[in-house]
Amino acid sequence: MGVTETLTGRNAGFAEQRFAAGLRMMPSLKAIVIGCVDPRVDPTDVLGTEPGEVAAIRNVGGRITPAAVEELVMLRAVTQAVGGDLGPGWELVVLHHTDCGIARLEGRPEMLSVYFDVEESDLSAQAVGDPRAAVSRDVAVLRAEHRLAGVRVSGLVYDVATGLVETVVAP
Amino acid sequence: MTTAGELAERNASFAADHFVDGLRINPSGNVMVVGCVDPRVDPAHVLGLGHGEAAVIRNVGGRITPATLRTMAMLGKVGQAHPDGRAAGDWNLAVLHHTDCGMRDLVPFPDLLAEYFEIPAGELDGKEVSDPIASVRVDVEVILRELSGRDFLVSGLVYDVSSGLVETVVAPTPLRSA
Repeated sequence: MGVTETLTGRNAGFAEQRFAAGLRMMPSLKAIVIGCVDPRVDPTDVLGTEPGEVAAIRNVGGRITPAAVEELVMLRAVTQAVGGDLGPGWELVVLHHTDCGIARLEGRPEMLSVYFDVEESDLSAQAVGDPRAAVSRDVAVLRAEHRLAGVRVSGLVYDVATGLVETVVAP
Repeated sequence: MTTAGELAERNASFAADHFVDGLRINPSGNVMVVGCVDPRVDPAHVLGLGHGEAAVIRNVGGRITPATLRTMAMLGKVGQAHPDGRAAGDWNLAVLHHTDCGMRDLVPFPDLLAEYFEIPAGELDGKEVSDPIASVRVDVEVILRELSGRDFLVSGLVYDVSSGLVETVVAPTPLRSA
């Protein structure tokens, strides 16, 4: 059996045993996690989230790039369309991790400069080799974003060697 | 307590009870899922992904945008930097869309959508943001057009938020060879 069939087979089990009808598009915890694509750092696993609780953006490194900010602005528009607002009472949780593959791209500044939408000479400020510095920087970017004013922002770093999260920037 | 505080507490339980040492940066299942940010459609839950099994991109709608393709190119470079960790067998990319997607609430905001897809607003109809069956077909076509290579399958799935069931809209399809 192929991988896709394996996954759809597991979905049948989910639908039968675990599916909860009536979940809402709006996350019940009013939280959005921004995390990395890394298979070791699935926010669902490492933060123990349940279906319907949090929305999650996952990109390379869990970084707050201009594209990630635009996605959050899109999500705010969706939230407003269903009668809410992505503002006070909401939380954004930025989740970075040790041993992140983005550090392997330090030799590809042409890729990283497009990703962060900055000049190659300014890439050092993105701290791609240091998750604690990177998460602090990304929290600062979100806190300065006027289109997300009032949202509480925190920065976590997951240690792939221990499974533990450290709160680097408190909410 | 803040949500971040609550999640950090749950993490302590994960680390104590479920953490698996020795996982690799390359997904053990040779799987990448591109799915939506929607909290009802977490690929880990609805596809039953195991810890370490799949790399997951989540964006608005689970769409294959130019930014998604750039992300995949970056991940390809990361994977090349870790050749030993690659599991045997085909690489599997699953594009996962879903019913009742909030993306259709963005139809009144063509500027946002046009920027997202990096196309003129007049071409947005082709992105089928209100029809997940059509949109997952569109996105698999983008992959088949933009990527090439061996041992790489792409499929298109749609999750029904009212039943919990996934439908395979596009069966696993190999890329054209490079």
